[in-house]
Amino acid sequence: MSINDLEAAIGFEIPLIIPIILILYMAAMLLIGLWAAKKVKNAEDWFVGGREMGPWITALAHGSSSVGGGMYIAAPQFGWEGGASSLWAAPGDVFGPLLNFGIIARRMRRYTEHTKSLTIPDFFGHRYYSRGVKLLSVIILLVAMVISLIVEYLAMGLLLACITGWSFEVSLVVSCGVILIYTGAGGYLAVAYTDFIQSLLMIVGLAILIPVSLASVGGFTGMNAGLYAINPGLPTMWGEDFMLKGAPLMIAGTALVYFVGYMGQPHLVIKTVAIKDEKSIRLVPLIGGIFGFFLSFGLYMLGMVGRVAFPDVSMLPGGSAEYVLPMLALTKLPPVLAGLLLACACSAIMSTASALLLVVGSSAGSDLYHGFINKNASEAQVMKVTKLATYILGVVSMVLCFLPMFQVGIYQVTWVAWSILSPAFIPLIVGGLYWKRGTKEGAYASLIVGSVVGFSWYYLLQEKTQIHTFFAALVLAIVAYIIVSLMTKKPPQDVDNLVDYAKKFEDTDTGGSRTVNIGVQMSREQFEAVIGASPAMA
Amino acid sequence: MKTIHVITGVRFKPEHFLERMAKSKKLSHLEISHVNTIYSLCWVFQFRVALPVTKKTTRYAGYYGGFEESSMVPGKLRFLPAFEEREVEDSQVLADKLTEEEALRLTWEYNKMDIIRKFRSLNAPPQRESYRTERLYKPLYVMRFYNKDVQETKYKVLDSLSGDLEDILVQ
Repeated sequence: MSINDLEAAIGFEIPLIIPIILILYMAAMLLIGLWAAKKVKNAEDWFVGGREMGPWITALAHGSSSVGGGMYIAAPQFGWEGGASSLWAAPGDVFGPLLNFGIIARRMRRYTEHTKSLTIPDFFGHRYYSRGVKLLSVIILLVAMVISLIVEYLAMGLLLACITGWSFEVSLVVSCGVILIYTGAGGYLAVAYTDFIQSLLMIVGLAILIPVSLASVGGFTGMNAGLYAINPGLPTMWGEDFMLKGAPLMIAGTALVYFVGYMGQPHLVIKTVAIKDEKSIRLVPLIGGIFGFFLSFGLYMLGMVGRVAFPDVSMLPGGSAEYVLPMLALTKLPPVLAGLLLACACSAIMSTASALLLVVGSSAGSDLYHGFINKNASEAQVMKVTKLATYILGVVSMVLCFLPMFQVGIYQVTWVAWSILSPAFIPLIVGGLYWKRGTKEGAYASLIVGSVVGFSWYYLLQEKTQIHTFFAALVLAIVAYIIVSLMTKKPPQDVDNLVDYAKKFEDTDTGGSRTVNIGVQMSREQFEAVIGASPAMA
Repeated sequence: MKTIHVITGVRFKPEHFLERMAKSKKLSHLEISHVNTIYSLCWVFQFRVALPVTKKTTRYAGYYGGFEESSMVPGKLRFLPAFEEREVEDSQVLADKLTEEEALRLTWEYNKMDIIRKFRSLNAPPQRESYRTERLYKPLYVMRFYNKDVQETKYKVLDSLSGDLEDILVQ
C-alpha cells in the first residue's frame, strides 16, 4: 500500500502537519519520560509518587491497558466487517478478567504461595509433577506472545504508513526498529508517566472522534439505517447476511474468546487484580472494567460507523478494513486532532509492543535458559540472554509479519494468538485447581491438542464447519485432558493434599486440621491467656 | 505489656464477619463471637536500589517489600502501610518466626525479579544499596465458634488483611 492509495481513498492530500505532529508528540513523550526519570532521585520521591496514584488514575490506566494498543486498529476493523455482531466480543474484552478472577485467583494464590511458584509454568511444573509440562507450556506461551507481538507490529506499520506515506513494508520495518529502540531505552524512561498520558490522550481523542463520526452519518438512527441499506444483517447481532444465525458455535467462540480466555492468561489477571494493600484499591478492577467496557464498545461502534461512511472495501486503502480508524480520523477530524489521535495510537501500540517484547525476552531468559539450558547461570548471564532474546525475537516477529498466514487481518491474528494459548492452558489451570484427578499425561494432551487445534482450525476448518476456532480448541482440549487423565495413573498424594489445601479457603467453617507448617502458631499457655478461659479445642 | 506498631486501616474487621455469618441460614446452629485480638509480625523493608541502566549510568529507586509471618510469604508493597503505636498484653503478640536477616533475604529475593521487570532493560541485576526495617504487626481476630447441636467449641483467627479464616496451631 502506498500513500497515493490512501490519498486517493480520502480524496485529498495528507496534510504535512500530521507527520510533524507525530514527531513532536514522540519528542514530547521522550522528554516527559526523561524528566520523570530524572525526578526519581531517591527513595522518598519514588514513594511519594507511588502514594499520589489514586484508584481512579490507576483504574483509568488499567481500563485502557486491558484493551491493548493493537486493539485500536483491530477492533474497528472487526466492527467494519461484522457490524453489530462484533459487539458479542465487547463485554468479554473487559469483564473477562473480573469473572475469571473469582474462579481461579484465590485457589491459585494459596497453591502458588505454598509451593513458592512464581510463574504459571512453575505452577504447571509443580501441579503436574513434570519438567516436561513446564517446558512445553513455556514454549506455547512464547509462541502466543510472539503472535501477539505480530499484531502490534502490523498495527504500527499500518499507522505509520498512513502518517508518513511510506509503503506498508517499509513502515513495518521502521516500526520494528522504533519499537526495539524504545524497548532498549526503556531503562531510561519512567514508563508509568508516559503510559498514563498517552492513554489519557487516546481516550480524549476517541471521545471526540466517536461522536463526530456518529453525527456525520446521522447518529444512531442514521448508522443503523446505513448499515441496513448495505446489508440487512449488519445492524443485527447476526452479522452480514445473517451468517451467525445458523452458527451458535461461532457466537459462542466470539463471546468466549475473551470472556473465558483470560482464565488461560492468569498472569494478566493476577497482575491487574491482585492488589490488596489498600481498601480503595479494591475498586480499581471494577472502575477499570466499566470504563474499559465503554472504550471497547466505542471502538467496535467506530467500525460500524466506518462501514456506513465507507460501505465498500474498495473505498479503503489497499482494500483493507484495517484502515477504518485512520480513515475516519483523517476525514472527520481537523488535521491537528487527527494527527494527535494517530500519534497517540502509535505510542499506545509502541508501549504495548515493548511490554510484550520484554515479557517474551524474560520468559526466554529466565524460564527457558535458566530453567532448562543452564541451571547454574549467574544473574548477570541470565540478564544478558534475556536482552539478546528480546532483540532476536523482536526481529524474528518482524520477519514473521510478512508470512501470508499473518496477512489475514489484524483482528483475526489476535484471535489466533488467544486461541493458541488459552484453550491449551484453561484445562490445566482450572482442572489443576479444582480436579485432583488431573494428571501429567492429561496436561500434555491438553497442551498439545489446545495449541495445535487453536493454531490450525482457523486456517483449515473454521469456515467449513462454522465453529469458532477458540470454541473448538477449548472443547477438544478439555476432552483430551479429562479422557487422558482418567486413563492414566493418579497424581501423587502430595499434589492431592495441595489441591485440598488450595480449596480450603472456601469452606473453612467445616473444620478439620491442617498439617502444613505455616499459620498461626502459639503455645498452650499463650492460647489460654488469649481466650481467657480453658479452651475446649483449637 | 508490650509496645508495638499495629497496621491500621485494615480491610476486614470482626463485626463485618459476624454480620455476614448472621445472615447465613445454614450456620444457625453456630454461635460466633470475637474473643480477643492477637498480633502477627509483618516485616516491611524500604529498599534503596541501584539500577545499572547501562555500563556507565546507574539510577536509584526506592522500593517496598515485605514478609508476612502468619502465612510465611514474601510480597511487594505499593505503600508503606499506615500504623499506630499500641500497648498490648505480651500474650497477644505472636512469637517471631524469622530473624531479620532471614526475612530480608527472602523478601529481597522475591522482589528482585519484579524490579528487573518493572525497570525494563537493565544492564545488570539491581543491587540493594541500603534498607530500613519496620516491624509492623497485623491484627488477627480470635473468633469463638460454639456449635449448639454437638456442644463443641472451636477457635479460629480471622485475618484482618486477607479475610481468611485460619486454624490456630497450639503446640
